[in-house]
Amino acid sequence: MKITKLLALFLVLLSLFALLSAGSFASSSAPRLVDGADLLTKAEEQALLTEMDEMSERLDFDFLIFTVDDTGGQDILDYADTYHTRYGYRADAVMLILDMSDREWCVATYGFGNKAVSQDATYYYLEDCFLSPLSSDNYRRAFEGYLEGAEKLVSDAKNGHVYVYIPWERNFFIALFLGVIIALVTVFSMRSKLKSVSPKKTAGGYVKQGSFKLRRERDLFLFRTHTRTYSPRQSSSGGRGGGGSRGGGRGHF
Amino acid sequence: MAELMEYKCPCCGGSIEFDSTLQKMKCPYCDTEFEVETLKELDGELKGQAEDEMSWENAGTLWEDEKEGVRSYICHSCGGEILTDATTAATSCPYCDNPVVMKEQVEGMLRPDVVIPFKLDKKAAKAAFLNHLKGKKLLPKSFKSEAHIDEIKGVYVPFWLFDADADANIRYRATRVHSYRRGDYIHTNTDHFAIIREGALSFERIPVDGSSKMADDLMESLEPFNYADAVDFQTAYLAGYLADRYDVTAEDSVDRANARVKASTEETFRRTVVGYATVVPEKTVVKLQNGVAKYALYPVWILNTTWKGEKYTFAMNGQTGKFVGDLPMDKKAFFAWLFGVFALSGAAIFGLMTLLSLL
Repeated sequence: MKITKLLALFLVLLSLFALLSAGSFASSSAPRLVDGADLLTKAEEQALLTEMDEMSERLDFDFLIFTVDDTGGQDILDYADTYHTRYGYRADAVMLILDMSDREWCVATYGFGNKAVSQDATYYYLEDCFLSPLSSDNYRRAFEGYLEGAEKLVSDAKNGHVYVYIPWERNFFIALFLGVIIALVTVFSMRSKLKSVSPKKTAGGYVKQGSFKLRRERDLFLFRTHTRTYSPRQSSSGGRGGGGSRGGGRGHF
Repeated sequence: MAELMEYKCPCCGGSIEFDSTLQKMKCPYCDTEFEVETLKELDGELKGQAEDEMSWENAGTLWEDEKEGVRSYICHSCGGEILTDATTAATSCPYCDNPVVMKEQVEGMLRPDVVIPFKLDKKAAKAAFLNHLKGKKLLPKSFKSEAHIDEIKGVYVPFWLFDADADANIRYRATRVHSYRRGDYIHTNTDHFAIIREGALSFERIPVDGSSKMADDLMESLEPFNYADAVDFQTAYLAGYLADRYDVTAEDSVDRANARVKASTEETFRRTVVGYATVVPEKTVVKLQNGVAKYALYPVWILNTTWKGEKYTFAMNGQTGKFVGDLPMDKKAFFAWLFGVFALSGAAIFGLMTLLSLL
């Protein structure tokens, strides 16, 4: 009787534990921040990890950061996929991965992450959040910026808000450049109307009808020159990648 | 032997002029019209009379000033002295406004082969001038209000009309480019060609201004003149207008015609080289043979105006109505438009790009 009660109590406790831990099954036991390239101090790493864990639990969405010295020749996006699959993170996740050998970065999105960072606008916004400090080797600030931006995008997406990103600086310089071109073309065209006196360069209007006779025309092939220019298929300045269950963007810093 | 010709109306004795609207001779006093052919006969009559008058004229006509290029004539209507330069062929008496033609400037070797009579009158020239000022946003506003026509005159300008046969042999260097990608490399094949074109081209009646008084670029800007309206020269056409005989010979003018012929020949042959990415002329040989140059008088209205101490000359083709003449520019307006257009277009583009970002 006692054994039966004990067994029943154990089973209840086990069930309770299972229920409480249900949410955690979706998440991995692997840390969300893996600084393989040793870019952060221990204190910085711990602070970021705490923040990432809190955000991930709160939004039921994994925010991940990986840094590696070298991907060993593997494409960085594929490398990110390997990590995501191997360590069993949530299906809904966003990962920032840095390859220090090429100084290449990549943001990979999974599941709901594809919806949260799916438009060019969101992509540019997230890039703006971390790229500048990353280029200055201020890694802690870059990661904080990335987490801040990613959290906002995921929260907005979960609340049904459409993110709008307006590249003010880019728009300003394009408008400035085109405005100057249009203004110069317009006023110089107006100025040219004031000038109507000019000598005639040719006598095209005085050609006798039917007088043009081409006696000889020869097109002689002389030689061929061949040049080869290196132009890798993948853009080195950035771009969107992915498709299917995984999306993302990449670039150099 | 300076001799004036005046055309007197057989009806009332007034001085008749060539009317560009009617394309006939017309007496402004009694409105009687005459066919030019009729006056051809009158020419003969006047010749006979002129000969008589020549002997009379000769007695008092030769002045010392003639040696310096100034000619002096006596007006048969009022007896006033008409002073002209050595090349004037037609003018009007400064006293009685009687139109006169200087016979010796348009006879013999100086007789023009053809003339295109005026088709448009002084009123049309004035209207064309006002129209020329319209729509010019950078024209100083005070130019329209302050610039008054100082002088407007219908002038028969002497032109040499050249025929030319061009024989060309031109060699070009051309390339064709083809690119393709293999892996991470872009391969470019450039094929080099030597292009040879040989042939002939003929030109007719290329006009070159034969008067040093008329700016060449101004006269060339008035082209084209329609040669189909040209008629055999008769002095009657000059009555009522100014005219100059040439003072730049055909030999001195031919270089200008040749330059235009060469440029047109090169342009025509270049158009036969197609299908290449780049075409560069390597050697151009153009041989020109000139036919007989004709001497013609073409109608031009000249308008002079002064604004802020500067003289502006305008010209209108007396046959087609084409009006030319450089106008001054308002610098303040230039910069105001520049900054205004820049600000407006820049703002519009910025707004449009922001709107597109929201989509």
